[in-house]
Amino acid sequence: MALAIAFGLVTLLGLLLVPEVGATLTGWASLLAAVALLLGILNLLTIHSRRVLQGNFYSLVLLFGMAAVIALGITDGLGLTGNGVQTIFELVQAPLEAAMASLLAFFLIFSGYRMLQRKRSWWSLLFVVTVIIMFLARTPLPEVLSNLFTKVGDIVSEVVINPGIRGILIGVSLGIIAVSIRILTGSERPYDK
Amino acid sequence: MDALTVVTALIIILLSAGLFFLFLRQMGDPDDVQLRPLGGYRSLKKQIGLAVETGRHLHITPGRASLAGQGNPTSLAGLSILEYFADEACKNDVPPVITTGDGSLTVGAQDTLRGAYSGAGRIDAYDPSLVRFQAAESSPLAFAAGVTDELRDQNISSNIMVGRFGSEAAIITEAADRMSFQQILGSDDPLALGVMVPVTEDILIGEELFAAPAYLRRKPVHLASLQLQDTLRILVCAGVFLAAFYYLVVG
Repeated sequence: MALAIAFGLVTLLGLLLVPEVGATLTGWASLLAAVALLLGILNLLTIHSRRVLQGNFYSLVLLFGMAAVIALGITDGLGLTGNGVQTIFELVQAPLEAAMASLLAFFLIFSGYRMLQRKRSWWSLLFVVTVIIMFLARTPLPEVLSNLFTKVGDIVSEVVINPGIRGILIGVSLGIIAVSIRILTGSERPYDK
Repeated sequence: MDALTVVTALIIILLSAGLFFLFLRQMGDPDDVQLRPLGGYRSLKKQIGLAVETGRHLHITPGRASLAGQGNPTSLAGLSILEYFADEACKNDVPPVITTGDGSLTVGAQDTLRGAYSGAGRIDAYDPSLVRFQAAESSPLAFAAGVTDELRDQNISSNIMVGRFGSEAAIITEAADRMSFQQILGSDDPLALGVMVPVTEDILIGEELFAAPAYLRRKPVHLASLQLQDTLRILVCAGVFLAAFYYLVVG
């Protein structure tokens, strides 16, 4: 525990007073995070290998994809292929993620609709109406409607949404201070289960 | 970093530490402390009973913020909720299914689960594969796709997501909503909170996340920390009002 507190205090004071020391210690933490990522990948490999043995086709696709990207990474490194990993990222992952991201708006609308079905309150109605206004404010419409919805959308954004977000972020910062004090004083020891 | 910023930061840290120890010293019996009722924590406590009754698993995810990054306190809050469930689930023999979106969180969650099994004297039953890494922090949508797949396949009773998420949370919560799972959700990201609102009323908003140990464990250190959080909030509110007043009156 003493070691953890000492490292915490040295990192904190380092970040404030001697940035080089703080940067070195956070660099070590990043190195550990990279090793942890490898452990995570091994965890993924183990679980999906088991599922392949149980006949899960999607797990097989995942393992195949993983093997292909690792192989391309090696051949890129050896100079046998040029930018293979980057190409596969641009051709497969980026479009798939973009497609999923574009569905988010529909998820929100359907969720709002189901919320109205489940519980008809003023708050539910307000949520759905706000979502619709914000969508319309960012949709190409005839000029008169576009100007109106853009103006209403901007007012909602500036007067309601942004202050709300700031309030949440201030609260989060205070929570972070409280957790940090608990850990720095050794009152809470997440590293000692 | 300029001198004024350093001095301000040091003052805030020392003031917070001083207040924390003061509150800790003044703390009476933790059971006598009244906490503001939060629906999210009330529902959290019911989920173990539901899992036992239905014989299904709880799904818990502490999010996808690295323990070595800026989201560390949020992930620690998520892990403290996981710790509570892991302890209770081990006692009742309903092990939770845990998914993570970061390697360090995977290791942290495995350690938490192992600690719970060890505490219950059942270390032989500990299975590290109950913690499932889905995707790296930089691939939120891959994480969402992986978690959705787990929800569908793993005989789940409730979906508990408390930690750092972004808008990808909509994909997971919508899938869980379609499967009629009870959901308890919490995040420090306003975008994630926005997409969580339509699916459940049991939401832990921003700072409420960090109150988890105080609500679930009620130890003096956690209650003193919550008191510190409340005091700092009052000070910040007073500062905002004074600044607004000053600019309105003096200009």
